[in-house]
Amino acid sequence: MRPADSALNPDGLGRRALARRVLGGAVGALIGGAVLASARAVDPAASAAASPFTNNAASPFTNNAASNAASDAGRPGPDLAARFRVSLTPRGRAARVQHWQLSRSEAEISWIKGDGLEEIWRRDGSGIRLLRVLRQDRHLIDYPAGELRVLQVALDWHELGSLFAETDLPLLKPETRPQPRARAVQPLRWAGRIGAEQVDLLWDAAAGLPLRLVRRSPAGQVLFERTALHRVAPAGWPVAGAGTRDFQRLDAADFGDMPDNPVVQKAQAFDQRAGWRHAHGD
Amino acid sequence: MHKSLIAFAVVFSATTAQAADPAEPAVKGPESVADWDNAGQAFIAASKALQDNTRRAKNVIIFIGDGMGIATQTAARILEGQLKGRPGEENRLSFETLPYSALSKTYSWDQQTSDSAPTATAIFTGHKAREGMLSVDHTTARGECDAAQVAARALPTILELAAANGRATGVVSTARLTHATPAATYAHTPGRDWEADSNLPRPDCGTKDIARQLIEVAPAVRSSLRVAMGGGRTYFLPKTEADPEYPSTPGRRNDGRNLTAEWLSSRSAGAVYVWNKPQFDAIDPASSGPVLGLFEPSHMQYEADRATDPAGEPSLAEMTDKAIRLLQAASAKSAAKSGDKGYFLHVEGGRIDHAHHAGNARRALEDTIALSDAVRRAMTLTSEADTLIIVTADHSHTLSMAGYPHRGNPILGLVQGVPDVDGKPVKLSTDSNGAPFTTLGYANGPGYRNAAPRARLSSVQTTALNFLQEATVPLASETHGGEDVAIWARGPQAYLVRGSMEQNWIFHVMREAFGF
Repeated sequence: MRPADSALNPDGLGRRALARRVLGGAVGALIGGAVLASARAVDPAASAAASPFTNNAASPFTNNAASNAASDAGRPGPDLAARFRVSLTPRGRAARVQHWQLSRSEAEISWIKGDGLEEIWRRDGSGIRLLRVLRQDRHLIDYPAGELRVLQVALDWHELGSLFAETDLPLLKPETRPQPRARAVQPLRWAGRIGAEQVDLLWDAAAGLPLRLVRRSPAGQVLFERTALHRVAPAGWPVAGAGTRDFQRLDAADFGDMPDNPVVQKAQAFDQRAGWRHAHGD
Repeated sequence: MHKSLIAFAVVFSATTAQAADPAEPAVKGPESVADWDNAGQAFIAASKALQDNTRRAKNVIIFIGDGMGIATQTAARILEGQLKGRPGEENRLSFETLPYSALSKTYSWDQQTSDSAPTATAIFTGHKAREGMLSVDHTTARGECDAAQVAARALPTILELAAANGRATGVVSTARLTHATPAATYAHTPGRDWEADSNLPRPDCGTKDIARQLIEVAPAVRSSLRVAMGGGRTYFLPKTEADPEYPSTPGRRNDGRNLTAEWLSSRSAGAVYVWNKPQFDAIDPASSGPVLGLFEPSHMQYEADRATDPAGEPSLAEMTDKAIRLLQAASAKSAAKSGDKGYFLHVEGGRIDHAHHAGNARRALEDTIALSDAVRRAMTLTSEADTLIIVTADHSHTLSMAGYPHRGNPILGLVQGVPDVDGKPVKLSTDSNGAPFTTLGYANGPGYRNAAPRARLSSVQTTALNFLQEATVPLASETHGGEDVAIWARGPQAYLVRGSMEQNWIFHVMREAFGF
């Protein structure tokens, strides 16, 4: 009845659009789009040797069996806690620096981001759910799995917990080669273009996490630099969602009936900056 | 669904194939010339045979499709027909076969385009009311926390009147039981969002939260309410208690009360609380006491996603079936003492509205079809002689059905018109810039595409479950629509549903049918 297009995925969107949607939650949300194209190549060896990061030389994840290929499907890698220095540089403007914290387990991934924003992703039989914490507003927002689907939020559990979908590595070109006799898995550098973005990645396959990730487009640049990595979060690190028992809790499905609620407006603005709540794929 | 649509195309062509003719129309309906006349005459005969049922109703069932405007109803009808392999336009949803209908004016006391609180108040109390308020009159102050002031302005609902007159009662929804539409049957509050005590505007607010009101209803309702099923479990659980299906999700109550336990202790013997499908299936209507079913922490799943629920959820039709059987059994049990007085039941398809707010027509249409299935089940389980069934919507949405798609064009697809020359194939209709467009669209909402000229949809699967229809005005959430919605009815006093009606008159029809 209408022209067939076998290249379409079941959501009616191109695969790349879906991948960007997921990343949009972390990157596009903060710089308002995609990233600039004039990145200077980084020497991975130099980066590893003179690294400002606390754990890249002595990673707790030294499993020689780990490969640089894609990790187990649906699992972003071992349980861990990590911190990143995140530099957000919209085109023509000064960089803004935030510090993000990741906690990752098989069924839960949490991010503590700047500005009082926390995200707790959980997965169960219904799919992936999100609890967004707006700490400054003392509100929790539930995004049930069905609601995320309705919002066209296509989720990749691996990517949620690693900033980069390891399945996208084949789209990049390896800039360094693994050292067969190395005692530990060495981080490898990958670079290339994914969609409209130029990506430069220093990938720690053992941890299933970047040591360094740069995404650039005409809109600006986002730089993630890992500053800490642990199997278990050290005492004193904040816990996402902690101390929120008295917070108000909303269901994102109810936003349509609460257009004048300032917290709803703020949450919807987050959604839109993440690429949700507006159409894609065309 | 795509397979079904393809199957339809094949069947459609096969049944309409005629002798080879180079000037054959590309689009042909399945009807013969005589069919039109025959169908018209059948309608006249059925209409003449129709006799107004002026008896009192023993039972009243009112279905509300939340946000089910007429465009939604039409599109759902076509989708259901196409899923059956037919062109679709000639299909009828179950309630479209009911003999009486009217248009309902949905404005409220202070809103041109209403939210679900005053519209439900109008339907259940007979009074148009204020934005965001449930079953209190329009003199109620916004944010009123003085329980005496709220009580003084409380409007008796049709459920409460039915209870007071000895009927068994029930409430079923796919939204939270504490959500505006179902809550308006039993709660009286100036704040539709005051669903748990943690949602009250201040700790000393004297107005009870909605979940608590369901448990602490007046004695007549307490004894009459035999079934309450839907979502919203966490509004009944204390913050110290984890949700049984999603253990990482705590309850929402500050007062430490577990209202599901209080349901069991405050109702008659044999009271039941269920939260998953196996427990639901185990309920024997003939022997069960009052049933509280809470199947999700918040709203129940969209029909399209229901199969993914970890603990399983009943469909709206299954809940309707169970509720009617429970009410029939309760009504029969009371017959020995006071005569079989019947029952009142409200059933809401609550998630049509949410899918529309998200700009996702397909989920809204699938939930509309689920509501139609529920009505069909009710039609089967009841007699037209003694049961008034009303089906309506509380308000519309901005969904529109536009362009000149040919007969049988996929309702979720791109518009393809009838060729102006027979023998030519159908082709995509295009806008001023040559870009195709879908039949369904929204006046506002998340489906806005920030592109000039419009984006090319020819490479997009517009029939996909998650596709967002195009919207003219960018809004994070699509809004309600203010035009009239339909009312359908059958049974005693159903003939009172006619012409153009104020929404609050629906209450008067139900009360007249009950005769109190």
